[in-house]
Amino acid sequence: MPGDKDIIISEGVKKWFGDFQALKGVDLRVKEGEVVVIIGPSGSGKSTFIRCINRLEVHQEGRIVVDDVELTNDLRNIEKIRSDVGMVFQQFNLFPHLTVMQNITLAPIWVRKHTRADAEATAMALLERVGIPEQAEKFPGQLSGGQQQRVAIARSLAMEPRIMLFDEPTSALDPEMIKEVLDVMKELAQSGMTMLVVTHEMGFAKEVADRVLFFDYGAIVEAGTPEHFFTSPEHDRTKLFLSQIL
Amino acid sequence: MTDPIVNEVQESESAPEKPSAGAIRWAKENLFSSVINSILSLLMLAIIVLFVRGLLSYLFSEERLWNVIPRNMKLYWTEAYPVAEMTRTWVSLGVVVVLTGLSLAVWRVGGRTSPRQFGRTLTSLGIAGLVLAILADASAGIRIGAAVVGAVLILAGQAVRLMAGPGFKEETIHIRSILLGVLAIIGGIVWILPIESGTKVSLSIQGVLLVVSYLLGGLITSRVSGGLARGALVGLWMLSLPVIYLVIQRAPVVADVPLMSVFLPSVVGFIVVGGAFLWWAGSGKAGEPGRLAAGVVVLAALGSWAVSLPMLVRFLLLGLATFALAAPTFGGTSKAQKNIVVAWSAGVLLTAYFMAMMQADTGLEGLQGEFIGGLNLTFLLALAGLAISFPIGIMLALGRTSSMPIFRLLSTGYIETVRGVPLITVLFFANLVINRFLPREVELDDVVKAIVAVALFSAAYLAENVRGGLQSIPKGQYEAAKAMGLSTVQTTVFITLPQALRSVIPALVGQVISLFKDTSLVAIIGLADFLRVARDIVPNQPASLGSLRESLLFAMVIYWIFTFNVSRASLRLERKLGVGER
Amino acid sequence: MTQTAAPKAAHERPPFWRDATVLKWAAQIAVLLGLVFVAVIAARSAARNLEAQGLTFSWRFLSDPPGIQLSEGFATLPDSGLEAILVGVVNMLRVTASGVVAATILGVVIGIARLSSNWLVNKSSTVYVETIRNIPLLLQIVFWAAVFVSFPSLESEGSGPIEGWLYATNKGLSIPWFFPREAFWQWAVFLLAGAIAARFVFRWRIKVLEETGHDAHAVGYSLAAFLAFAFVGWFAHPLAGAIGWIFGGLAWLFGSIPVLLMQIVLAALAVGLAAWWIKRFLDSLRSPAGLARLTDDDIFRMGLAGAMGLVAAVVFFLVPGITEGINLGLERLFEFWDTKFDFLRTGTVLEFGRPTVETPGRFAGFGLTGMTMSGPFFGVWMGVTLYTAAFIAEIVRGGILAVAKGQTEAGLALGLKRGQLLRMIVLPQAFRIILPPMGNQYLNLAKNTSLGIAVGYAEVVAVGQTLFNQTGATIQVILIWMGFYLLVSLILSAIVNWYNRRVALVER
Ligand SMILES: Nc1ncnc2c1ncn2[C@@H]1O[C@H](COP(=O)(O)OP(=O)(O)OP(=O)(O)O)[C@@H](O)[C@H]1O
Ligand SMILES: [Mg+2]
Repeated sequence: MPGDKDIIISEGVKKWFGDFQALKGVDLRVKEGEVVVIIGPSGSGKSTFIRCINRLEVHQEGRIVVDDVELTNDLRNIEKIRSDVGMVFQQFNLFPHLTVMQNITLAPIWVRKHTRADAEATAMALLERVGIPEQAEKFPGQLSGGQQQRVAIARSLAMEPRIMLFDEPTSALDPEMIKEVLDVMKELAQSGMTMLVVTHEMGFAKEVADRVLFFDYGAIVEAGTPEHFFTSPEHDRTKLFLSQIL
Repeated sequence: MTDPIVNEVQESESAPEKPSAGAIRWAKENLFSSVINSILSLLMLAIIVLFVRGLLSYLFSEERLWNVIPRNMKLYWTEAYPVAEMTRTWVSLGVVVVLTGLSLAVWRVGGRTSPRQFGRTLTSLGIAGLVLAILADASAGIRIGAAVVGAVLILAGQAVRLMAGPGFKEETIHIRSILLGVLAIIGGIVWILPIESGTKVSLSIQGVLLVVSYLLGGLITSRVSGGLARGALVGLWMLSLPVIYLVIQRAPVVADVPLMSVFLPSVVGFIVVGGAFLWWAGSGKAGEPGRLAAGVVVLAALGSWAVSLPMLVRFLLLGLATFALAAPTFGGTSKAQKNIVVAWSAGVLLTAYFMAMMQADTGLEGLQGEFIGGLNLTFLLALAGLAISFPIGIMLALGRTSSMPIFRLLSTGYIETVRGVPLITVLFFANLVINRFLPREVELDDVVKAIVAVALFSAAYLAENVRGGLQSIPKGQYEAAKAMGLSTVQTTVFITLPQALRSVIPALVGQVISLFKDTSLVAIIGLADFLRVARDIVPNQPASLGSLRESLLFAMVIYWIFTFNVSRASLRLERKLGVGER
Repeated sequence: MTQTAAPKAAHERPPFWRDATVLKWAAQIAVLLGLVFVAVIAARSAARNLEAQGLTFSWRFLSDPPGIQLSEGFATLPDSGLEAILVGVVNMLRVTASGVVAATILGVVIGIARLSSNWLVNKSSTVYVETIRNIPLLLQIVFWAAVFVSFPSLESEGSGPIEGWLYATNKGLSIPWFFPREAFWQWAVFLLAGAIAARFVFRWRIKVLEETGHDAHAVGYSLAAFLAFAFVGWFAHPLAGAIGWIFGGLAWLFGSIPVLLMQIVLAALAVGLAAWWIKRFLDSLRSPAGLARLTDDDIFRMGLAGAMGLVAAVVFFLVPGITEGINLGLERLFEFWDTKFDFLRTGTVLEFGRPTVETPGRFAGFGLTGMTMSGPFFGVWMGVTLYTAAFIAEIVRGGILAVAKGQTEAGLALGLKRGQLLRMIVLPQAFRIILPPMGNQYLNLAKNTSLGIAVGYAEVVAVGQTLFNQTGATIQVILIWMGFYLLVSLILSAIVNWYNRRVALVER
């Protein structure tokens, strides 16, 4: 399914927090429409890496090119990347003082400059796609965790991104809500969206991923197809990690 | 027995509910639960009786000159405002009353209360009357009168409660009927009091206005959407302040204002040229040239203060700079573009109008000194101070929490300096030396200087409160906004500020109350505010000599009524918004 | 934001008008320049206006005789403007200190009463708080001063409620008092030593208690130690005169040191301080793995610290007057203390005095004839005490409630009684919550004493106003006011911060 074009290129990306090096040279190329799942132990730099891709974190060495735009201090590039790359957080990060509808339409109206009517129509369609059209006028605090995460996904999709980043989208959810969120993500993957997903849901990885990356100590230790990964991992650290988690 | 101290608090706060369960049992539980408690109760009772008795004897002693107060109402209210023009103050009050009535209806303030609650209030009032009758060292007439009124109120209160009964607990009285009742009572009292008949009539008209506007507000809410009505009212409230003080009370004579030579061309020019410029800047296609142009306008606005230009032009340039900076962020669609231009035109017109009013001489006849004084001045200082300090305070808070070190340094320096010095030094600074630092042609008058001082002072404290709110916002909110592509300004306006302000409402109200109390300091630099009237002007009149303490007590009661009610209202608002329970 | 781009990408730096870092700094510098521009315009018009009024900006009024009379203080007819201001400072500190003590006691009592289960006590304290804090403080001060004026007038005979011991009249409230005499400061050295000794004894006894488990009478022991020092000092106080030598030596040192040398010392101090700060800052970023990458914010901070140090150093050299002033001030200060401790001083330590009344109906001066609280003092003191107490009460109540929730359960599980619970568990913990806002209230109290001007109490602001009315030095006096209050704020917040840090350390 993936196309030919490298939509994300990361070359030797390094990142320090103070004196702590969180990323030690990450090389990665993601094709358009590819679904990449990132796994790895806690603190290995998974979040830091995907946050570098939409410049929530600033990498200090190396190169990141997203959709032919290099991430530099150039304001114009940053603006473009931000509206091309959607992100879903572990803690949902919905805006508690705005209704679901307002949460979703805010950026289309003020960043994409859509009219309110258009934005609301799109929002309704997205809410239907994630299965909660009836919650549009509620506030986030009135929704369950699974519903909130689905709103967050709809909110990102409303910007019509070409790439979606997910940072452990199901980790803060109760087991019975995980499925409803994963279903939405599967549907999204099948529709051809380029996705970078940090998750511990191995079932999702097996079923949906085109590629799985194993992160440890700020670098990619092993990469491969799900079959390769779950049947014959090469590195000892990968084996150890998988044995702990499976 | 899980949590003794907390339990006690809850118990004590609900204590007034208890008497119905049996006064004796209640007293046993709350006053005589142990030996120490009993001793404490008796001791406290003795102190209270002595204190209240002393206070009442003082208040009702024959030597007190209480008649000074109704006689000097006009001074307390407006100080030297010309008597012939008093209608203007009544009209101002009328504006406020009408807006209050509308707001009460539109926001559904108060709503309903239960008859039990109402009966309890009546009973407490009655008990207060009886206490007065028993303890006061006053003339027999007053004591008997108080006793009768007290007894009637207690009976009425008990009757209401009995009628309500336990079975009717849910039944409610609409606030409208209570409002009407209270107005009727006040109306009655007004007609009994020894005041001029003109005042009586005017007060009665205000009462009628309140009721009518309340009913009107009800009508409006049933026709128009709530959001629209509320937005319109907020706008009217904001406009009411300059309208009342600059237009209604000041009675400006525009004859000397260069309307044709300065105002008309500036207004037309700024609306046409500025509007066209903003249309372009807000079109979303201006890009970097738009930013550059905005920068040029900012420079021009700053530079206009270095060369001699009419004040109006300077202010309009500042406004244009602000709009130009904001246009790319908030423009984009053709509708947004239109909104920007409309807002700009309205802003230009209002600015020009109010500046013309300010530059015009007052047409009040027989005026000595400032046209404004007394409670009227106190309110002006508090409200104008608040209106100016709020935006400054928010800017300072944003500066102090910003990621830009120079802004942080400047804001922190300002905030800490102002918070480190007493208000009176700032007032002296404004009153005595600020004019020296201004260009020669600007000569601020005393009231304006006081407003500036109060606003600059209060802004530092407001900033600290807002900062608290900003810091309580989780980092994820900023990140989500950033990831969606919102700019820093948009994130602030749509995401962080609204949440921050909501979470610090109690602190903000506290600050507003302080501001109101702090305005009394202008008495020291010689302004005739309410305190100064009560302390220096009324008691020094030949007919009122020796009434200083009466006058001060009256002032205390008036200040107290306002501050206490504001703080109560804020508590209710807090509960309604559920602050702190995200 | 560091712009260390990868070597490969170095040529891809964006044009400066789109570079986030450049724009960030450009905006800041533009605003800074704008402010400088405004300041320059303001200063220019100020200079022009002063010239037009024939005034010059000088500090001469500080040394010239001011020709003013103050209503109370250690020198009611000051010799110089500076002395007048010092009188105001001392008066302000007097009312602040006594106000802080009284407001704390009252506030804590009312705060606890707010939580009492006794309905009457609870409600009375609530009424107190809700009444007092909703009335402007200035109005309260004016009211108390007015109440004072209504006291009976002072006549030579039979004015006080208790003749010779207590007078409450419109000329003042007078009570007997102990007055420090010539040798007081020498004795004070022993008191200080006694306090330090008491502290050590207290710690020692607590350790004994912990080791043996028996009550070690820590309070009794330390009190005894303090009293022993006080008793010995009462007779041996001339020994403390040796301290006078030290001060004398210091005074001589600052009197004879050449200005140039002092300038060098001060400049070195300023630069050294900045360097020390920068080094500490860098150390905080350093770790075994090496120095962290500096952000533009870090660089700005270090640059600012360095610039401030350098500017201070340059100013010391450009304006020798500052150094001369510091020298002179230190010399005078140490001379003053020298005389206070001097060996040659003889006399008593304390003396007891009772109020006496002179015939035309006035108190017999300040000093040995009882302590008299004037009407203005009374007004300010009552006002700030009652007002601050209401706020302190709320803080105390909030602090106790905040602790009470979880801690009392644990305490009850341990089988503590209610009183013990409050004393041993709730109050010590509440104290930590309470202290920072309490410090704020003390600061407010200190600033609020400036309202004394409204009732003619000669504190800093009132004295300053009299002074500039006489000399026209308005801007200078306002600068002095602000400097003084900022100093007080800085000292108080430094104390609170220090205490907070100590408490935080203990907690770990
Ligand atoms: N803002 C920050 N400041 C300092 N250190 C940070 C910061 N953010 C992350 N780190 C450190 O960087 C390392 C990588 O963090 P990251 O969040 O990327 O890990 P992760 O792989 O996502 O772990 P998890 O599975 O727990 O989410 C961690 O050791 C973390 O402590
Ligand atoms: Mg993570």
